[in-house]
Amino acid sequence: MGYLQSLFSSSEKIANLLPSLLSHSSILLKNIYIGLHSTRFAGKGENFWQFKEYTQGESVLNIDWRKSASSQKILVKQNEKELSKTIYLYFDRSNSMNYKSKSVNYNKFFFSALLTITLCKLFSGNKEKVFIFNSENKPINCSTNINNFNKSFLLNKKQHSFPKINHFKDKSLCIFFSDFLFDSAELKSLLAKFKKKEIQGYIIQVLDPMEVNFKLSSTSLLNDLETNENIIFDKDKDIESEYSKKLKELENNLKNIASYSNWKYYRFSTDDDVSKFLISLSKSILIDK
Amino acid sequence: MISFANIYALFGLITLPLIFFIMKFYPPKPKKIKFSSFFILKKIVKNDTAKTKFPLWLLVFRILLCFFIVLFFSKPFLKISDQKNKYKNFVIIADNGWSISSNLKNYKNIIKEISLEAEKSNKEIHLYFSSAKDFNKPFIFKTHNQIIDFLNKKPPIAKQIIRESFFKNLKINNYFKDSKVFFIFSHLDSRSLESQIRNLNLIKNNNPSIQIIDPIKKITFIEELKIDKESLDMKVRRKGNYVKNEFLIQFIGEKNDLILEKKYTFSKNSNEFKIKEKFPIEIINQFFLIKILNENHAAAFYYLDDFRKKLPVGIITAEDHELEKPLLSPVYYLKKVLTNSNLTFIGPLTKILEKKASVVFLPSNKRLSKLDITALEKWVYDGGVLIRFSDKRIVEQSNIFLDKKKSFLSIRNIGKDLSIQSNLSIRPFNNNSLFSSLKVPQDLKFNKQLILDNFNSDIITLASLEDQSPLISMKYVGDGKIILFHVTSNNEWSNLPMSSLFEDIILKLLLISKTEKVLPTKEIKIKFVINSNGDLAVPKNNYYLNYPFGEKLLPSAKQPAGIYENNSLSIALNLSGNLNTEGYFDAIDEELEIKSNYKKSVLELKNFILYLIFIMFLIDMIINIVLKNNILFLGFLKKTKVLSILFFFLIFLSIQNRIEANESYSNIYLAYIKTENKLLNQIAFSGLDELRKYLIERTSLNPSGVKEINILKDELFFYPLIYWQITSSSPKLSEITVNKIKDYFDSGGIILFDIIDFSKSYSSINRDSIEEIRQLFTKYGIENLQSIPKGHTLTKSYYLLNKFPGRWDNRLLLIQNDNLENKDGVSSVIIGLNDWAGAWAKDKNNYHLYQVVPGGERQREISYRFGINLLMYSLTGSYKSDQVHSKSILDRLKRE
Repeated sequence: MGYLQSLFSSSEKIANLLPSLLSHSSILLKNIYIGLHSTRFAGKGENFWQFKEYTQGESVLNIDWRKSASSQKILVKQNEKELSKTIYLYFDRSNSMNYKSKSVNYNKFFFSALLTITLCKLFSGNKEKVFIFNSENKPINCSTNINNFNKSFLLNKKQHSFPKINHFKDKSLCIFFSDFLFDSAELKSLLAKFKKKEIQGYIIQVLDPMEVNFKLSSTSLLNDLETNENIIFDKDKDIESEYSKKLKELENNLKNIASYSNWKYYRFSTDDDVSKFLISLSKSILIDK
Repeated sequence: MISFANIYALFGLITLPLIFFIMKFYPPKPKKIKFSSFFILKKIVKNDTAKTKFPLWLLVFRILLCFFIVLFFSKPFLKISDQKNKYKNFVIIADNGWSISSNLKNYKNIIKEISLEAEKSNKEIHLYFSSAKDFNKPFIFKTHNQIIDFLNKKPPIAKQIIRESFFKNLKINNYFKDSKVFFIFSHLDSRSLESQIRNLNLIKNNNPSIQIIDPIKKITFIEELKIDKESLDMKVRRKGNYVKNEFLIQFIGEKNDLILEKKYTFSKNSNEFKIKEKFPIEIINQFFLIKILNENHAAAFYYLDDFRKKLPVGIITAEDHELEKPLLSPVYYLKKVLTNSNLTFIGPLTKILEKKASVVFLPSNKRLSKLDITALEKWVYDGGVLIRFSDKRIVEQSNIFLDKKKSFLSIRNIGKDLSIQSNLSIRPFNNNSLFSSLKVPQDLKFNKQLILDNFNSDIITLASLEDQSPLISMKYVGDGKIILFHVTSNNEWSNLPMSSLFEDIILKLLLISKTEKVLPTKEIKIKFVINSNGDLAVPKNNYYLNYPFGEKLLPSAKQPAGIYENNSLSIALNLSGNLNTEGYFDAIDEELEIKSNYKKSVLELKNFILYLIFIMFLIDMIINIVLKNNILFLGFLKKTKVLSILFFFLIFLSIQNRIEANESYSNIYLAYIKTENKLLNQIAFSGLDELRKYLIERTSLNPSGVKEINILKDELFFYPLIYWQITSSSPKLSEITVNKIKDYFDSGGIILFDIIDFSKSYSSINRDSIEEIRQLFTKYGIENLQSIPKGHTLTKSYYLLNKFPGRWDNRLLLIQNDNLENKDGVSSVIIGLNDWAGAWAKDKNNYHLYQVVPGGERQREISYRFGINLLMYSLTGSYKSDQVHSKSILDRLKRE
């Protein structure tokens, strides 16, 4: 009975989360469009972009004769460069992502989901194929209809698990959102496989400010959200500096893993400005494409 | 040494180690916080640090707390003097005479402490009353509660005792040598000095270890009281600290009505006070009880005898007085009133005089022979009271007061031709008149009235009609009195004789007469007994009073203090006035140490421990909060703003003075400067309070009260107006105080200086005296005094006034004309000589304290108006001298 009840309450939470996520992401998206204005390039695409004077050596097929006749110059029609790639977005749904310290409004899970949805909308607007992994780690195509992103995407899992390698197309683009507060061996082996498949990607480590600057005001009993383990911490022990050292180690480790497979590492703290972060992230993605 | 009443509870201490281990192994859990992942933390913290240690000091603290709880239940007590168990029991021999009830609380307390000690030592308490006549078995108690319950049921007795059983008790019990003995002893209780000395000697010789404790700390009692005709002699004594001390004597009437209350003061180092008072006979005859206020013992109450229960009165009639028309008969109503309550003789004068009547009534229409007149005259001159009524033919007589002085008489018709008033009733009786307690009925009618044409100051008007024409007048003739009703004794001239008021008036008039004290020859039965508190109670047994001739009657077991009564008289046998005071102030052998209090030898620790436990619990709670850093609790405090309330409360405590000041600041208070003369202060207070009432009644001002100011200490700024009575003995002020007054003036304050001493002597003011006043005020730093100009704002600030009288009516009023431009033309100093507070003040009975001269009540009214104007002036300044008002003021002046 208790289990059922908790299930209901958690599903209700999720149901409440979705509209908020969607509205947040649409606001975010607007900001990003303004920020991304001049990031287009000429290339092989279906969309017309501009006219250009013909220079020798260019294909004659591209000349727009009607326009050339009216302007008395030989003009070539240039289309937008087609950069479409298949993009995979994955965010960690493990319980540790539900952590939220008092200083922030939303937990890591919320931000990961928000970033995922917003990037999904952004890329699908660019006619790219976007896949989001659902809670069973199966890729769902969201590029045609964002409504495919539904409540089932927001279901928590007890522990993190990456999608299987065969779900990814070769030469695609991959973005992983997670706190990466687990053993990185798995990630390392996964990314080694991605390298073989020429899959590029980003490791976005989403952390709570409390996780970045760990601090305790009194002797307290800490409870692990994933394992439900309890540990008592004495206030007077100097954990803080030790913690920040270890965190730095983890960060370096993640960076190493990323650079080995030509991936990039970013860290997002949940008290950062999400739109700024998203703009810089999407710019970097567009340039890399 | 600490002992325990409940020693078994100490077994609880065995559990302490158990508690110690429980707390040691189950330390309190710290605050639980959820955290995302221990992935990093696990690398830092080893599991063995995961258990917090319980701080040792806290552990000790809590064990101590448990220890105290166990201790509390074991009821520990501390024996200060340890006399082991050498006594078999505790014996208390206690006086329980009249003086005990005045200090009953202390008496019970001493017995309680003694019995508490006995109880803690597991000894019995044997109580003997020293007043018991024969040897009695003691009252035996085991606990102090039992003995207190017993004492509550057995109040002290209202008499002096002889301690007859004392000797016997001591002897039979071999002087209680195996017991711890206490003697609760009152100096005042012994009826004979000899027996007191004997008793004390007995103790000294046979049981020197006895502890003598005197519970009487303070007592005031009536030692002597004598009423002789119109004078009252009374001696009041006291015991205790002989400091200057006030006491109140109340004179109470039969219906428990307070007739008079008077304050007297014991001077320092004196233990007695003699009161000599004279009262008119009719007042003295009303007294039923004389008592000292706030003394609740039998010797503070003095009940008076009543020999007037059946006063012999006579009604002069002819031998064959008309019985055929009773309702019209002039005798009928008198007879009806008198026969109920008095020994009434009806008949010719000679017969009445034979019966020794105190009052003789001469009804209407009765003519006296010359012989009768001379007899009556003689009787009156010797002290008789004649009450006579008017009739048609009285006009023909001239010597109506039998004093050979001619009176010019006429009869006035009321409500008939040529009279103005159509209907007159009786004017309500004055407060201090004999009839003050009587109410005038509404339906009284007077048709005719006898008028004495020549004004004679010897004639006292006892009652009058509404137009102030006399209804009952009285004249002293020789030693006696003649009272004249200006109406008939039947309903011919008025319906007064038919009303209930007539009976009341007649009965009151009887009080004017003197009575012979005729002592009863037979024994009289008791009606009320005077109990130990001085109140009257219904006696449980029948006692009879035998009046022994020539001997002083004292209350005793056979004849307890009380009121004895038969048909014709009631005799009060009082304890007060009948006390044997030999033993009171007799020096007692110094070897006998008499303590005034019993030193506690048992100290109960239970309550201390309870307090300690409570405080420790509080500290433990605070420690808990601090250790756990219970944010929830703090959050709750924040939410409910308890902290802020606490904060404000602290502020309130620390600056309470300031709040008090603000109170004076936001309300108007009338204020006066405290002088060295207490009476002046009281007058000023009462006067200003009266003025305050007038202000509330007549103006929109609503002063909150009257405050007394100490010019040296108190702040002046809160008061718009200060009243200051100046006497020639007013002290010179220091420079700081003078500056303080100047600052007050500069901030817009006004002081009304009232020069009290000079008031009468300055009836004619001349230049020199003004100079003298100016000189006087230089010591207050006030110069440039001038007479108030005509048309000053003060003459029109509320009422239009042209003079400023108080108790006196000196025209002189000085104001300071200095520095006016800085104060909006308002003078800060007003100086006069009229003793305003004296005119305003009232006494407790709501009478004005002083007559105002020369203008009477009109002058008093003007003096109130001056007060109102003054306060208005102090609040509105020169507002009324604005031209805007001049038109209405002129209009008003024209009308006048």
